[in-house]
Amino acid sequence: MAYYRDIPVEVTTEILSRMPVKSLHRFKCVCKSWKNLIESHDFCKHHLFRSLKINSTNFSLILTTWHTTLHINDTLTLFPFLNRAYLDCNDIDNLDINRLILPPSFQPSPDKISRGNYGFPCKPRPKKVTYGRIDIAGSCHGLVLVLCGTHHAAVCNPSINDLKHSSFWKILPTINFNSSKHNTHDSTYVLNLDDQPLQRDVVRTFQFMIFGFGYDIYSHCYKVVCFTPGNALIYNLSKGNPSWRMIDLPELELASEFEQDINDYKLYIQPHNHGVVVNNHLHWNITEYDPQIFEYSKETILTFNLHNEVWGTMPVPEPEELYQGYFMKGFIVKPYILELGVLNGCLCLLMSRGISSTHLGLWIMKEYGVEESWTKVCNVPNGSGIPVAYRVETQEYLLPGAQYGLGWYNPKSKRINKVGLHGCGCTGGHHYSTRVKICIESFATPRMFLTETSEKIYQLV
Amino acid sequence: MASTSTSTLSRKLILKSSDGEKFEVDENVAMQSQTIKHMIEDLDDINSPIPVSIVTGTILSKVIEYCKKHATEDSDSDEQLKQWDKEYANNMDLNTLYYLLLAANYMEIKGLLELITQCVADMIKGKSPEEIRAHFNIKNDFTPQEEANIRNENPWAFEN
Repeated sequence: MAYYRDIPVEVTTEILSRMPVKSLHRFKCVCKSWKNLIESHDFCKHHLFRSLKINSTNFSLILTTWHTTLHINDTLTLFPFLNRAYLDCNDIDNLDINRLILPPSFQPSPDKISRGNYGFPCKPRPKKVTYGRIDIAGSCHGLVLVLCGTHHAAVCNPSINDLKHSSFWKILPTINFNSSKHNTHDSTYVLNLDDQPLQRDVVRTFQFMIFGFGYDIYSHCYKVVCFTPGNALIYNLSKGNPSWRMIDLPELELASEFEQDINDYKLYIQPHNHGVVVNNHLHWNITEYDPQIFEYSKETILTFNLHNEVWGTMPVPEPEELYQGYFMKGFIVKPYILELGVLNGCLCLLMSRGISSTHLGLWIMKEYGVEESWTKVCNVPNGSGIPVAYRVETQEYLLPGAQYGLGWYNPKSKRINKVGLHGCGCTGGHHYSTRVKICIESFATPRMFLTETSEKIYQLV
Repeated sequence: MASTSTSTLSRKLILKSSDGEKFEVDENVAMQSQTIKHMIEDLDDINSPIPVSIVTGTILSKVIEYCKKHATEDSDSDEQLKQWDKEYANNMDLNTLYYLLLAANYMEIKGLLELITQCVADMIKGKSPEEIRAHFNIKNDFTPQEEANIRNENPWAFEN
């Protein structure tokens, strides 16, 4: 019979560092020494380090689900809720959902909802839709950046999901631009009703407020970047007394346009398009467009170096397909980038050839920064979002989509295995209103690396 | 991946388990263990048996089986080796795994230690705290109130 007392503590640490967070929460009540070990700072980092390995299965999905109430006068009210679905590698076809506990200022409430006239895929279409604004703008090391409305942002760790641990929710100071250049965020930051997987129509918005969240491997700092056409701000979570700090705007050729009248903006970023981290850089896809020819556009990827805080651009795939525009209602339709993502540590993107196309192209940049390494992997059905995960054994992608919600997609058979969602009043029927972000499971806290000294610095990638 | 380059004429070493069982192995097989490697360096007469003091014969034979497989520089691909590792570990019960874990840790065989650690982790990750205590003979040193408090912090972790 095995005796725990014979097992050296480093072996116990090794075993426990390979566990999902759920098991570790449970094993804290095995005995005091296990509890102390699991809650120790060093263990947190060790566990995180292991979970960050590319083939680790230690991750969960953060789903934003919309709960609807239809009123008599055909007004639909949508309340968003954040849920965490733990991805159990033993049963990947059914996910159990836990509701995320939000701090009071982030709770959905009637005064935080706004009204709009947005297309909603249910019949009969309601005349008016009102909706709350809550959004996941990025995730890093198991921490997620949650946005509420346009001025409130917070970083939390959904795996801990306990408001009593105040350090696990870090509410960022209100974002206020002192510039008169841009004082209409509330009216322009259209949050996510017209986005994927809800709808694939191209809604051109020439104002935006975009976030990015990442970890700088050199300075061991978590940074939040926020920018609009007229301002760019950065917030360093790992500094002792952080605050929003102004930084330079990206110097694109279009930068001069910022000074002009708002109607002349030629830069377009989808409102939900938040930054994607690869290789210590944040990435956003942007569209330069000619206002005279609405459907003609040029795609670029904007990058932000998390270390030296310098903006740049990244080449997009330029296959022949990109130039094979076709006519629709008299306009030339060019393929455009729909969404960026990360698969196997590589930057990937979804390319659309217009809403009438039956499929989207999934591309991967196999070698970071090398234009020639853009490779088309497969087609995915139109209406899908960027795949959130890839399962090597079955060669399937976990795909959010308008029709099936969330499913495993096999590019060879072109079949989708719908994933069942259970709990928190969530059923398969609500799929059309589900958005998905992936995040690894960890015990990380926003200030985890604050006390980092030279003794032991893990190289986190 | 083979760890040491084979000399044309491999020397033989004798390993002696805690219960006195002797195993004759090629030097390159034994050298996968960092502990034995260091012992040999200090040894004047390599013909005398090398004691592996905390490992029993049954377990040592399994350790040697692993080392032999990983010492040979034959045509096995990484894929095949992984498959072999998987089958090797799957054939053990938790008790054997536990002793193998102690042996791999003591003998400092990195590959084996990683394999067994992952295997133990996979085996126990779904278990309840009670089952863990029973498996490893751990005494519950919490008061019922303390334990209830921990459970209440993350009730979702206790749902199936």
